[in-house]
Amino acid sequence: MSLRRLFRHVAALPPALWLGAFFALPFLIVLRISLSEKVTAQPPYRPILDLSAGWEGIGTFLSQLNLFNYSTILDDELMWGAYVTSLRIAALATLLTLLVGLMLALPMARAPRRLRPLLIMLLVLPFLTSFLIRAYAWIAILKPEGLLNGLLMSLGLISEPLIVLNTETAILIGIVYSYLPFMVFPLYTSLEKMDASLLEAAADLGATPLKSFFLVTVPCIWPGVLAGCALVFIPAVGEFIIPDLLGSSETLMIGRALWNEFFANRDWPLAAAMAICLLAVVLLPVIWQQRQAETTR
Amino acid sequence: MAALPQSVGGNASGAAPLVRIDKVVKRFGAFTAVDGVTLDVGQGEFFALLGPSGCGKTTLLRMLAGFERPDEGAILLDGANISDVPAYRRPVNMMFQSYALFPHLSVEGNIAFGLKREGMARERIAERVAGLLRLVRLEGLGSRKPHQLSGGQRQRVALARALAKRPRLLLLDEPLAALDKKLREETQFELKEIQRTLGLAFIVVTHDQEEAMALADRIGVMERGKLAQVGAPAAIYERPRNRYVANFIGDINILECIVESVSKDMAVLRRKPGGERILLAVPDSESEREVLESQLQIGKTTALCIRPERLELSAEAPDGATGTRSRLVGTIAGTAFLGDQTAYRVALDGGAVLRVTVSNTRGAAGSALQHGTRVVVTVPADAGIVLQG
Repeated sequence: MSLRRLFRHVAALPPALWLGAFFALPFLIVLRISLSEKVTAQPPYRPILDLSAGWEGIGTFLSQLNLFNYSTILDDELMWGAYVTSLRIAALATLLTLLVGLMLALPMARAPRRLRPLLIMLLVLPFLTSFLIRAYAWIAILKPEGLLNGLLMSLGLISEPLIVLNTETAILIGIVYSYLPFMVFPLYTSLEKMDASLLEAAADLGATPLKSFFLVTVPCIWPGVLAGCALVFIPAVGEFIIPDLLGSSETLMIGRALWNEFFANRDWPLAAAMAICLLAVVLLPVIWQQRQAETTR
Repeated sequence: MAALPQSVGGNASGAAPLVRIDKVVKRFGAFTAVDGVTLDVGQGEFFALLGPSGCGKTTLLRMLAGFERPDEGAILLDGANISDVPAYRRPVNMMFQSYALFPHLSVEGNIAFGLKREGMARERIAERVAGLLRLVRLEGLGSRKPHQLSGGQRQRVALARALAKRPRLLLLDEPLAALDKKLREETQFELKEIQRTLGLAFIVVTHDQEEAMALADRIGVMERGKLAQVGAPAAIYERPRNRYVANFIGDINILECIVESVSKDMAVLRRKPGGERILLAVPDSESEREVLESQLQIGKTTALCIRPERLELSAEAPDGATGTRSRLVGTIAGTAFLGDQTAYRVALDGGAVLRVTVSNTRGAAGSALQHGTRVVVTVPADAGIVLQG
């Protein structure tokens, strides 16, 4: 019995070590930098922990840490704006991905069983090519003289090219496209697990197909909806490459703002503080989701 | 007893039927699941569709519910063709084999689901739900979620939910299949009682012949998409139409016989292996006699069915055939003590094995016949059933 318990503790060790080495430790370093001051030196922040001075050194080190960078973020409207823009775009993109994801996952889950592996493969296939190539492909599609405008104009639907590239719309398209599999898989899995007779029961009791969807399907696949939304929303908030390639300089998202502080201004402490704030912003919905999952269980 | 001609389908009473299934055909690709079924079910009738899996009984039920559309024929409810009416507009409700309870809703939420879709007032829904919970004896469990209930309780919720909208017709797909034996027997009586009090028409699908006989006013035995026989449980048990029905409903012995002679009150058959004489009483009723006579042609082979409980077994050999009793001599080849009765397998001297059951009304422990005992099986003249097919 005690041997078994010991084994259980040992088995828990690798994930604990992994999390410690690659999450907790880097997080603490970032947190410590965020409480420092920017200097033009190597490393570009102060104070530096001097262990040779013993306990006194640690004391002075701790006394020099402050929340200055956080108050900068709170005071800076541009910074605030970047957070709000990021959250807004991520939320909108998540919603759109959910809609597109449902349109894909619903027929996939209802397809004949032998066709399903093929459909899953077709969904994954584009993602075997490089992410950057696919992002550049969207530039070719969306630019004023690109494929989309060419098609619409040759069909006579528009006479002037639509300006899509370097707008928020292009960012949304990019995010929806890139993160779609992360939405489709949890949705598909929960739809497939759902007992099909539940929908028949709903119809039998007088619910139209649309009512059945909202009253039965959605509650049944809710965990999948939450998981898919989290998998899209969390990386979308901090997304850097898609807004950089498809968006314009007017839409400043937090990923870009962070990059600017870190690489252009070499203000590591402020960038670190921004990263910590980003983490907090993203963590809140995740905690909320966990709560939800627990209450529905 | 002779086989009666029975109309396949037909109506129990003279009144207009509640449901009329008219020459309905349903195909799935090359497979014909339901092959030209015609059947009337009356108001307030408890009807059982009985058959093995794949015989089309569930498909027929699903067409009544509106989940499948007949390829040919029509389904009429109160005289109106509902074949193309979608499930959500039919005044018919179904209890699913898996129960299909909504996992995210409480017991009350499940029962109220259909009433809310009707737009019934909140207070009236609460009233109706409380009444249904009383009916299925689940008072106090209304706020539980389905996964917090036992199998038997879930079955009751499913029944209450299907009854909530007071449908004209309730369809039940294997309603008791998921319950253990003891609970199943109790629930059979409750189900029957509920059906009787509410006066609704029930159509139940089952593969369990005992369940069908215990529940239903009439049974329709299905075989490969067709109705093999429709009738009251006792009528089907005592006068099965063909070998399939005879085999499906209860245990049966089938003896191949050659018809020797048919007189006014007695037919004489000779068993094909063995050659023993078996006497068969010709019924008094004119119509029954005519049917029997048409089936028994002298010199032809016929299948004689005898229920194991109608045979009599004795250890000592009595004197030759007397009166209206036929005797078959054999050896006990197997014994199974079943509590209320003992089942014997008797290897007849002339070949073939008979199953004979003896009621243990006086306690069986001492009187059980041992393996290898020489026995005489007596066939009462009114025990034999001549099959039509």
